[in-house]
Amino acid sequence: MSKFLSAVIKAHGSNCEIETNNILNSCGFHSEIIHINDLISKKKNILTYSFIVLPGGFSYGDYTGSGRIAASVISHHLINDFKTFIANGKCILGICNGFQILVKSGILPNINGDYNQNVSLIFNDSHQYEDRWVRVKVRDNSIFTRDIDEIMELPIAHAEGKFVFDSDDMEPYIVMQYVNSKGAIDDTFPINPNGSKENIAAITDSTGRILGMMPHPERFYTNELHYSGSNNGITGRVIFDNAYKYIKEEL
Amino acid sequence: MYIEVIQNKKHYDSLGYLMYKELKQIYPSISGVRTSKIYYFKSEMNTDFIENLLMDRITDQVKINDSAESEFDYSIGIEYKPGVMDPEALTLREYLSLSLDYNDEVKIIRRFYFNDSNDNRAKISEYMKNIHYNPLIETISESIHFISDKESDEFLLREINLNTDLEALSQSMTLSLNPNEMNVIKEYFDNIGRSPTDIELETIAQTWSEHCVHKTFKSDIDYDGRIIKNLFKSTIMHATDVINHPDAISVFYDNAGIWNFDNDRCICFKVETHNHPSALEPYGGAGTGIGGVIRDVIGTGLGFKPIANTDVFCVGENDDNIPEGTINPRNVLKGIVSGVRDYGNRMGIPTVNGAVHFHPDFAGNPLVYAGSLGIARKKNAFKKVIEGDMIVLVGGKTGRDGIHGATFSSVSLHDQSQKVSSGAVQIGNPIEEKQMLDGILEADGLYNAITDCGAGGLSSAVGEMGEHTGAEVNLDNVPLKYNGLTYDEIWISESQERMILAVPSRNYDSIKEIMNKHGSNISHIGYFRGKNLSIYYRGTEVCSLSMDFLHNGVPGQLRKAEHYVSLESCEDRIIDKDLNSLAEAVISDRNVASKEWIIRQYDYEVMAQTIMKPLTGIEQDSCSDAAVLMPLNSSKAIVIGNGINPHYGRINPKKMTYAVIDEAMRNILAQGADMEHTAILDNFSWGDVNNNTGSLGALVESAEACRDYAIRLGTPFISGKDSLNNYFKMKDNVIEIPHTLLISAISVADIQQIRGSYFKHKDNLIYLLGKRTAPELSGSVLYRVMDMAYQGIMPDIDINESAVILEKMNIINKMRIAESAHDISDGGLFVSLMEMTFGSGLGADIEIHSELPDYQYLFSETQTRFIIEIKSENAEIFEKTAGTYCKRIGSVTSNNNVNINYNNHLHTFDIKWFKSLWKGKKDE
Repeated sequence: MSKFLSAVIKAHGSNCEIETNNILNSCGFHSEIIHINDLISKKKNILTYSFIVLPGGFSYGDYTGSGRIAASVISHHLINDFKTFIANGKCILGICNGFQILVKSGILPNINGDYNQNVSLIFNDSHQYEDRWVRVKVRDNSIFTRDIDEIMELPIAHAEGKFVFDSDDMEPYIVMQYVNSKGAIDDTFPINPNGSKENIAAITDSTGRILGMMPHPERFYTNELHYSGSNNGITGRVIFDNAYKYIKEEL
Repeated sequence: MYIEVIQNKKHYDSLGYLMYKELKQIYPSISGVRTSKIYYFKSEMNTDFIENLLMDRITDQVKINDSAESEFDYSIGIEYKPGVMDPEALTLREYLSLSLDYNDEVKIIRRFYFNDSNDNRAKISEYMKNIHYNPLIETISESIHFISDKESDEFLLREINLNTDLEALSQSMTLSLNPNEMNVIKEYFDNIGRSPTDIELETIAQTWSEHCVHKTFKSDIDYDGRIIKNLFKSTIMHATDVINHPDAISVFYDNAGIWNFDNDRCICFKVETHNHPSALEPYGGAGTGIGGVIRDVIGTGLGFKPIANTDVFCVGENDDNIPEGTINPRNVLKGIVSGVRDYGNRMGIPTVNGAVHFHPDFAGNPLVYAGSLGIARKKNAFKKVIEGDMIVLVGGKTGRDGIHGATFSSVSLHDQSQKVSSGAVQIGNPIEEKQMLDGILEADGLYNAITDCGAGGLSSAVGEMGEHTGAEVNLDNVPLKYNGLTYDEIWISESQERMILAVPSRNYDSIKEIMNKHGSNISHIGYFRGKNLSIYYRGTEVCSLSMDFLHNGVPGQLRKAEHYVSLESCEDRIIDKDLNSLAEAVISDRNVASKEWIIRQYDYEVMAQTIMKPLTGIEQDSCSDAAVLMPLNSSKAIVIGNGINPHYGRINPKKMTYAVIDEAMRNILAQGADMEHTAILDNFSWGDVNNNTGSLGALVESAEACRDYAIRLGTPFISGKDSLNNYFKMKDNVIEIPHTLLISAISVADIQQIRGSYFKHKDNLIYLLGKRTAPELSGSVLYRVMDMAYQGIMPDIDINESAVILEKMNIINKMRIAESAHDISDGGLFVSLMEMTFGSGLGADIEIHSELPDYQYLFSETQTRFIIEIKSENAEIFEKTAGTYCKRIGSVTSNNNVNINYNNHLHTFDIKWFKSLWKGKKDE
């Protein structure tokens, strides 16, 4: 079994699975799209893969709250496989709706190791869906962001991206924060596009192998997709390249 | 049992806070608004499970079986009326049936709590109407009503006696058939010696409706004594025939026109109107409009994958003075935008191109154009039903939604429409459609034909597909949302998210497995065979019609049309206001101003292919002329643009037609398109062509202008649609819409040709390319803001000259020597020039010498003009290529201003200030 098998897990209403799968294949993975119903019915199993991605979209329409039903599916049908998968040292990436699912199923950040929900992603302060590009300051505390110590530009597109939490210390888990053109954390709209606490755009867990992020790295796989037509910085591809590198060298 | 979910902290409730801010302005006694949702379950269920599912542990709290208003003064609950689709309840129910084996009703109420020292409950309920809920489909909830399963389920075959007043019968059954057509139907049944059943009459009415057969556009017309045989065939279709373009794979035959893309793929494009439903329920109307056109694309060939949507809206202008019985234009627009957003975004299809126009005469009858573009392998370009194929219904279940939508859309709106037409209004369920789409794409190769259930429901879809084979349908096999539907309701229901496949029996099990995986319903409802349309219900044949009569029986008609008299006048008042104040008024006009507040709400980047986005420039807030897509794994680009101008349509439909075709071509060419691989689509939204001979004359003139210009350009029409009879009837008055033609253009071009619409580098040269600027200001933005729209003359073109200019632009695109280009349209040279500075912050120094007054030159809307930025080393070759049609007017600077030296008078326009005016006016 190749350790470069990866899977994009779609549920009813996921909608970024094709481009996400495409970029995985172009980074060296042997990737396929699998339906969450095939996991429930045990036709497929996540333990086959080294890397799974929960893509963007509106799983189950995001009705009753973004990612809630998909999170409930994981909690009731798949949680043991997820636990084993994580314990085996493998990697998970949740993008946008995938991030919402990881958070609401308690997989991320899983501060106490009990898979209870610690943080949430709720309606933007504007209470509106918005598509725009943001600048995020990236930390290298996850395997996906190793050696990236700079500002990235990435697109976001969501209605429920406001990151909130009660009293936990988020500091160790923060991977990306919305910043202004000078690289400073700035709470004003639209620099912080949704009202996220501490401008948090992405977090990891204590292992650094699970990343949830609101921005869409797959939508910026090449410079031509930049909003101004070209850009000399790094593209979103680096997130997937890093996962490949980690799996190649350390798994 | 019921469970109420409410945020545990005020600052987690952004909707409540925004409503508080909004309501506080009107009712100062309000000190707080909070929102919640109540979920009702008809039978008992596991409380822990449901609490876990619905409550966010961080931000929510729940109350179970407790409806107290606790610390609030009063509350208002809003729920869907019985029978209206609630996608949230449906999704929840499906999940509960999967995980808990719960299979009973779920009902959801949105609840709004108020802290208010006065009791404004009644007033606020009234205020929320059409802003926070639509009374057509939702109601203030007093108590919970579940749909009763005990609804009468009796079957009684109804025969209709045709020896009666046929006109009254047509009206009472909402058939929308004219006396002549009713007589032909009577003759048919007299000949076969029996009376029709109700379902037979309804099937004929659907099939013969304006919406489905376009009988006006296809009829013979006496235009001031000149007889035109089949207007559509002799104009639009004629142009396509004459051009005979090698890229045209399928035209005017399938649900969408099919165009060549690369070696093994083709694309299809379709634009639909959904005007009447959107007038009554903007959110549902626009959403189901987008949902419908997406299904058109899925139902083209053997299934195209939709990869981009477009949307163009025309709404009323005056928010304060609206006709009785209509919804305020501001709320119409908000509703439409939300509808397109929620459907398109959830489908995961980027909304990439559009336009909005405001005109007072759209107040009672707004226009909603929704377009969708698809891609497929060439082997999937054609379909053919094989005799004996199974008729397979996939997607959503059938309910009472939208009964009589096809016939309803063929009649006018009136001031009681919002009260009486609720059957024609529906709410879409994009996730249902997405599941169906995923299933259909995976079932590639397993079916012989596919089409969507649009207007007319099963009746149109099965009737159309079975035209040559016949069809036998068993209505007992159609999955229903609830009991109590009669057989004819099942047959003509326009429940959304359904499609029909023609499936060889050996493939049925494989397709079923795929659809099940994607959570989409599938049922075998009959066979394509027998030459007739035969429908069975509970063992009885309820319909037996000859397919030939159904499809070819509609009687032709000779219609009278008269020349449309142009509203231009020779008078042309000289404006003596200062240039700066005119410039400010024009750039702030809402037709010109930035549409960022709308575009932001659309996911225009899903699929990772939108290389020219609707919001671009270094601050990602300036505009482009057209959208450009680079589908995954391709080196070719698809350029999508449009042209529309209802203001021109009111004044002179023929000149309007030239102008909008020209605008669509300019838009795509400015972005770098390839004219030799370009096709266009026509969408006519016209006024009262039944009663107003001038309006029908306008249609003739416009269609003939389409034919002439398309042929000269060598750019064929590959698909189109007409929506006629757009007018609003009040007790003592009729408001006809301005005749409005939307032209949508697609072009397949080399990626390397694509460029932006804003200035790139300081010191580059700025050229004007195109027709000589003339004082053509009738209908222009300037004359409209000066309240003199009908004065002066409207822009006209000589199609030969304009074609030559566009061809030159095409050569320049292929030479790749333009750094940026922008077309000149609404607001003239001035607006285009300013817009080119908005994307980069660079300025311009312009010098113009002309015999015209400055404002006429700068705001004239003379057609076929571009502003082009050229590097100085390319100036010579550019000038040589463009010849006499180009004129150097200045250069790009790094200043914050646009300086215009006009006949030696210097005018300075501050870019920041003008950009703030352009961005400032929100319609939110």
